[in-house]
Amino acid sequence: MTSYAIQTKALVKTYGLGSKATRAVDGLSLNVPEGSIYGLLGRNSAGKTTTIRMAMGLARPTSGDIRVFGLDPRHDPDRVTVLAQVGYVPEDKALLGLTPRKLLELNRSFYPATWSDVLARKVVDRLELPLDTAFLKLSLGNKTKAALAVAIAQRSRLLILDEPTTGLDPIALDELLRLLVEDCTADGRTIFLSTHQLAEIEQIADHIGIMDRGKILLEGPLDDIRSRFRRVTVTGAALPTTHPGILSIRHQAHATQYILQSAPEAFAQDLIANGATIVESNPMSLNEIFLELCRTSESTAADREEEFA
Amino acid sequence: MIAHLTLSALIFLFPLIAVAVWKIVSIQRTAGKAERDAMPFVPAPQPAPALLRGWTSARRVFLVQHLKVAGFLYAMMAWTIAFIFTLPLFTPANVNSAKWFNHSAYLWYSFVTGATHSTQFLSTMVLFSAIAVIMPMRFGPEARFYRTRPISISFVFWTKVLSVFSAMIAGAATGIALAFSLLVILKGPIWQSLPATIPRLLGPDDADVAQLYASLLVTSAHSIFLSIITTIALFFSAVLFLGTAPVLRLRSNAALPLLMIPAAFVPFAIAIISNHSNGGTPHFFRTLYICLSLGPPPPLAYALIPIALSAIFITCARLFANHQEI
Repeated sequence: MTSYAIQTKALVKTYGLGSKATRAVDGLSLNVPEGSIYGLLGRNSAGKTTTIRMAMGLARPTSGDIRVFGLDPRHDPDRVTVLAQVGYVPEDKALLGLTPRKLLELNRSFYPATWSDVLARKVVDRLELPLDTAFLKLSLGNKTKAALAVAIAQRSRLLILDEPTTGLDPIALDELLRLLVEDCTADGRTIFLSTHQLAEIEQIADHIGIMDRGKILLEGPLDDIRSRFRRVTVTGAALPTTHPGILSIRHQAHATQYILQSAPEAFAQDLIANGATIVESNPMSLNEIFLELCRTSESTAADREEEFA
Repeated sequence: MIAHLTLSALIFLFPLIAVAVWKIVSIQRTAGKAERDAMPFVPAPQPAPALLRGWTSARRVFLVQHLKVAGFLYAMMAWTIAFIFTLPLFTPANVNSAKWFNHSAYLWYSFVTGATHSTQFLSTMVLFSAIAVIMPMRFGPEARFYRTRPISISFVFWTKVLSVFSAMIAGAATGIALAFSLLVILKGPIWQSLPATIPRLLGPDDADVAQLYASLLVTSAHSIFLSIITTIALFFSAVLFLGTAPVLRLRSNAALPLLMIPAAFVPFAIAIISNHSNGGTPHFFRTLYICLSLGPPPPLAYALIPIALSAIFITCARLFANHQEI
């Protein structure tokens, strides 16, 4: 039986009251398996940070449930137990106004059981983090590195990284990805990260969740998702417009392009059986899957709004 | 007169500015040296203080940090109160002193009046201290950092609140004791040698002095000192209550004015009321055991009202803290 580092059920978070109420998270059901590197992807305002804040006990769900290692992060003493097992890099990387060295020293005393000075030095060296530069003089990239060093050296059971690549140059980004894979996944530890950097996340993540407008559009092992999604260009008459596997259809000059989100082989066989000709059938990159899902979600939401109006 | 006030301000501010400058210079020197040396990350072992050995490392660190801040606040409060109270002992007598028939009476009057006026100044200091407690619990990097470390909300709340609250109360008590000791050392127990009646040589132009002296004779210094302590408790806890109340959805520094308004308004209102309260402290303030002017003290039982209100405010603030979002 799979155990989950983070699990949410019908999670809702609303900000504001009455007509000004906004649903930042809207019935989210998320399953982050223990031991995975889980990438939560989404556009701006998709609800990623709000979800992370609820997992860290910084925000309270309006309804629904959120569990971290099966515990409720809203209430003490469960909250304390959860936080003892979680390393966290916040979205804005603002870090108490301390130098990276002082920040590391401070954080070290909160996690005496798991903290590793050796790992802290390794992260500092690999990311080339200046330890004694005053906080105000740190660049955004160095603030990100400091936040990462602090969280990684904790050697927590779960590492939650909210936009961990902000301000990092390509070399630092590459080092970070290596560090995450080499040093943060041993002993069944979990990494949960939200990001816009799809190409980089594709290199390390084994599970993906794509969010939009507070809802999860897609979730699962990355390899499964890649094998399920396909772009198929078809010619022929009386082509199907509805099928459970179709995500979207685009009519071109002489052909029709289907974006399929499940069972592409079965759909292709149906097409051939109905006399259609498959001109092209290509797998899709994570970036293409993400864009298609977001566009479809946007048009569905626009249709709904029109209906409502 | 202006020269005296400037001198007083300098005497008051000099130690504070000197300490601040020394601290900034030493921090910059240490930081500059560390940056030049570029030492690797090899943290020194942190032995646990004997008294706190039974606590978790996280709790110890958090508590020690706040005790340092509390120590600074304690010193500042004690210095401020001692300064306000003893100012008349070190400054030349002003023009009104010539009207007074007895120097001891004038000194005692100045000392006690300083105590009643200290409420205005202290209210500002207390309100800003309360805001300084609330802000890092509600928003900003500090709030988020400590809310995501393995320490309970209850521990964070009580450490922050009690360290500041007790530092202010203890600082005020120390300041009062210090001022009183200085008075006794320099001038002797002057309140014991006050004439029981107003001398006949006071003329019709001296009616104000006569009235003040009559009020002075029925004023209880103990009540005023107790009032300072209970007023600090009341103001601090009231702002804490207001600042943690869920009706104020403080999500950023933009919400700060919501807290600053009472902080600015209350001392201002007290100053106005105080200036127009020659006939004695208004009844509402007496009920809350706040002494703004000379006169008969409120019944001692009234001191229980601000104490009870403070306890209620702090208890509510603690409950609100559980539901705060950061």
